[in-house]
Amino acid sequence: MISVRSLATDSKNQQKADVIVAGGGTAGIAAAVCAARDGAQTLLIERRGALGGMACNALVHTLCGLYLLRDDDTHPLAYSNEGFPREFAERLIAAGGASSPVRMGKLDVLPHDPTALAAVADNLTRRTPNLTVFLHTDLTRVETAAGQIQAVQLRSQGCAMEVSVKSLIDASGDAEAVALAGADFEVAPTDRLQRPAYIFGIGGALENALAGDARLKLAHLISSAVTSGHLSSEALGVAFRHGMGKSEIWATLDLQADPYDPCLPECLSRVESCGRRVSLEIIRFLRLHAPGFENAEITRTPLQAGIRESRRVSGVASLTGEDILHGRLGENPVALACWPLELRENARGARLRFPTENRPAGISLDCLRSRTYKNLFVAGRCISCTHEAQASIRVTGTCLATGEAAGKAAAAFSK
Amino acid sequence: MAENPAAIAEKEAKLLSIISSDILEIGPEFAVTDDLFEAGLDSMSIMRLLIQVETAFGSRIPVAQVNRENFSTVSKIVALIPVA
Ligand SMILES: Cc1cc2nc3c(=O)[nH]c(=O)nc-3n(C[C@H](O)[C@H](O)[C@H](O)COP(=O)(O)OP(=O)(O)OC[C@H]3O[C@@H](n4cnc5c(N)ncnc54)[C@H](O)[C@@H]3O)c2cc1C
Repeated sequence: MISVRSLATDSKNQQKADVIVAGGGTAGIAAAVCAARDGAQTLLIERRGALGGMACNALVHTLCGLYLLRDDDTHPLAYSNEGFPREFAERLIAAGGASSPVRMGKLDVLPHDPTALAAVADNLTRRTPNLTVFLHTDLTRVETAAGQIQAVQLRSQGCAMEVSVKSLIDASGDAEAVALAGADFEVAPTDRLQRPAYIFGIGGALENALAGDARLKLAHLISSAVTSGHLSSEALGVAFRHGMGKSEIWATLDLQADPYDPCLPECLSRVESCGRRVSLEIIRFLRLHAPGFENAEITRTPLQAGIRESRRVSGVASLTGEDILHGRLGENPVALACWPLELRENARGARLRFPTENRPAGISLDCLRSRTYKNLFVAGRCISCTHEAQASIRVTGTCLATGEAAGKAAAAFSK
Repeated sequence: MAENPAAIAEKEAKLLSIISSDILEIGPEFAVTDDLFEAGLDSMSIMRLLIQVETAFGSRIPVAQVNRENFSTVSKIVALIPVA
């Protein structure tokens, strides 16, 4: 065991924190900053080298769920969660890491730059008193006794450290802390899990490479190449979209990945290598055959394939798809979900289910609390909800909101 | 040579059934003149549509004819399929 200077110690020289946040995605960033602002000595740990989770490392490049739904743009645009989600979006815009909101079909979204999002999170967490961030650090064990989490074991660069904790927030996306603690969780049947995707960035294409009917013509080129055997069939899962500026194009390659189990290393390995292989096939093909892509190249590769859904904690309460579709506010909601159910149970694109009259649904604190351990909170895409509801609440805007709520609740619990 | 109306109607019905069973979520009331893009057709689903058209009708629609206008309804797509 090693000890780290930035952590406080108790009378027995054990390192301690009031709140530990496991996972530094959008939910973990929000949870850690908000817990620390409420006075809790907070430690945010993140396995990879950057904060942001999927919205940085998997190259997700659009923040969804930040704004209330509206029929058309004659209605004013309004944030669905005024607290930390709004603050974070505004910081990102001010730093040039996000453009301004864009209307996509019936939805308003905020395109962002994945690296800039991580930098804004670095800056914000560094300037937040009471907050320590450890990157390249993995939560590896959770010690429990008497129905509570007592301590956690962390591992970084071959060194283990033990930290006692008053409350733990699982913002790992995959409910890893929940699983390590032996707390209850659920996973959808493998054929229903939302499918993963491999996102990569393309630079060097002409600015009009996606203009007018170009996207449909690209679809024709790719589908012909798949039929003739010049591209792998997985290429049929690709969609192209401009980044914040017209000079960058994002390619999102939805993968069927059967048999799919995002908690198994052999499956994740298969997804990563398939995404890598097909992304290279696609760029070679585009350079040779697609007008405007003659000098295109892959400018960004993801640090990990994008995982939309895996474990969900079993909480004190559980949000359902019906709650979202009927816009049920419930009593004392701590966060609002306002994204439609975005079902991606296969690699053929999204099916959207909109809530009645665009009403947002309330998420109660009980959906952010493990039913097994009372000092275990959960935020982000693995909160307590059904598979259907997860298709709405997984978006980053809602993750920021559940992060804020979990952070405040964990800080209050630790007092 | 113009194709006879019964043959066109048959092709339209076949394409509509392909689209409703495999490409888009459309109800039984969806008409061959209704807008496919409004019903959710996009650059990803059109790839499968093109492959299905080729399989079902034995011919490929040339890339020059692929545009939003030509693919906006079932009738317009059927008009692009070369007469066998
Ligand atoms: C392909 C794809 C496209 C998407 N598109 C959009 C979109 O356009 N707009 C949108 O808003 N949302 C989109 N989403 C959904 C959204 O990106 C994610 O659901 C959201 O970012 C999840 O945030 P999170 O903080 O809950 O989890 P994550 O972003 O998964 O973050 C969890 C973090 O925890 C870390 N971690 C996990 N376990 C441990 C551990 N044991 N120790 C230390 N660290 C750990 C991980 O490294 C990770 O950084 C998309 C998702 C995918 C996969």
